Amino acid sequence: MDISADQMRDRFPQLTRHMSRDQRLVLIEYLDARPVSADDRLIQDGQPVDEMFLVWAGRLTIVLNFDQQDLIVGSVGPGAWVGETAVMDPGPACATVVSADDGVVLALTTESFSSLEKKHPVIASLILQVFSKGLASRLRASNQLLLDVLSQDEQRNAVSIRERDWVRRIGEHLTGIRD
Amino acid sequence: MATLMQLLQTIPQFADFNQSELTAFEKAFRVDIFSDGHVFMNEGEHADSMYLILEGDVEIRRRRKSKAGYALIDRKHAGELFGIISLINSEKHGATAIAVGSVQVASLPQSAFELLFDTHAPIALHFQRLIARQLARDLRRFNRALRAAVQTEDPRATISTYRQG
Repeated sequence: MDISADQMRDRFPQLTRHMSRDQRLVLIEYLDARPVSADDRLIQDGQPVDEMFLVWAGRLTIVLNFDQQDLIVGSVGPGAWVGETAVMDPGPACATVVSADDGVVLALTTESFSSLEKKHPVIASLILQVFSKGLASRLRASNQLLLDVLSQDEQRNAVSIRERDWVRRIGEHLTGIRD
Repeated sequence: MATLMQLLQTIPQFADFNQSELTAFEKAFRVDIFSDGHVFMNEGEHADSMYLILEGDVEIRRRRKSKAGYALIDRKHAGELFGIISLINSEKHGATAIAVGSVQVASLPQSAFELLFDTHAPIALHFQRLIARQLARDLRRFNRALRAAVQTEDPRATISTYRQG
């Protein structure tokens, strides 16, 4: 699949905002376009993961797996990305990501990103800036929401954990569905 | 007193930094020792620096809404950064950071952080990677803590588990 620099800019404006046309073309070289079908599992919660995915077309559903049941946090569509924590710090995945329908994702492996860092440090730096800002926002929002939950809990003297609504809401921030 | 260079060489997070990178950091950072209870940053105040702990511990606290006092969110140790979230996003501090016992920190003002990017791009990228890695680890830690809370059916367990790492 051929992707132009302009298409990359239009599909991922936040990620490519400070990139020149040439830089966008370089980035495209490091991405692996993959068609996905409905129910394809791209990332498994708790399992080692060494790549992230930019959503080119279609939607991805994000699920937190608990012992007793799964919690669907929400879904992301074109222009969004998932799994960037793995690129920044390889380790177990924080959530399961499943394709909701047929689509296309652009995979960026940790190996590709390391290579990008060595050969094109400025582009890698621009990407890290965007990812870091996103992670920082998610951490702050998750913390704030948790404190709000605890505060409400103290006032009501009742734990609403069985409803799991607060878990879902924190999950939205943790996984980046809601900033 | 050990130099910043000597201290950085003992911190695992800096193990893959080369000599010239460490030298650039030594020039950009300012090293100070603070006594117990020192407030490095206050929740709600404008952010102007980030900090690297060289020795000692720092508590991260947030004000409670429902009652007086603070909730202890996290405890940072040698080799960890704090103050990065607000500096990265140009926001006010979302938490208060307080020294626990004597603490030696290296501080990097925002202006020096930006200068590092302008003048030493590869070094700045390496440091940026360090920041991103810590953010990713903190997020993963929060995720684990959330699961612990669900298992114990107690939202308060999220914070206590998060603190434990």
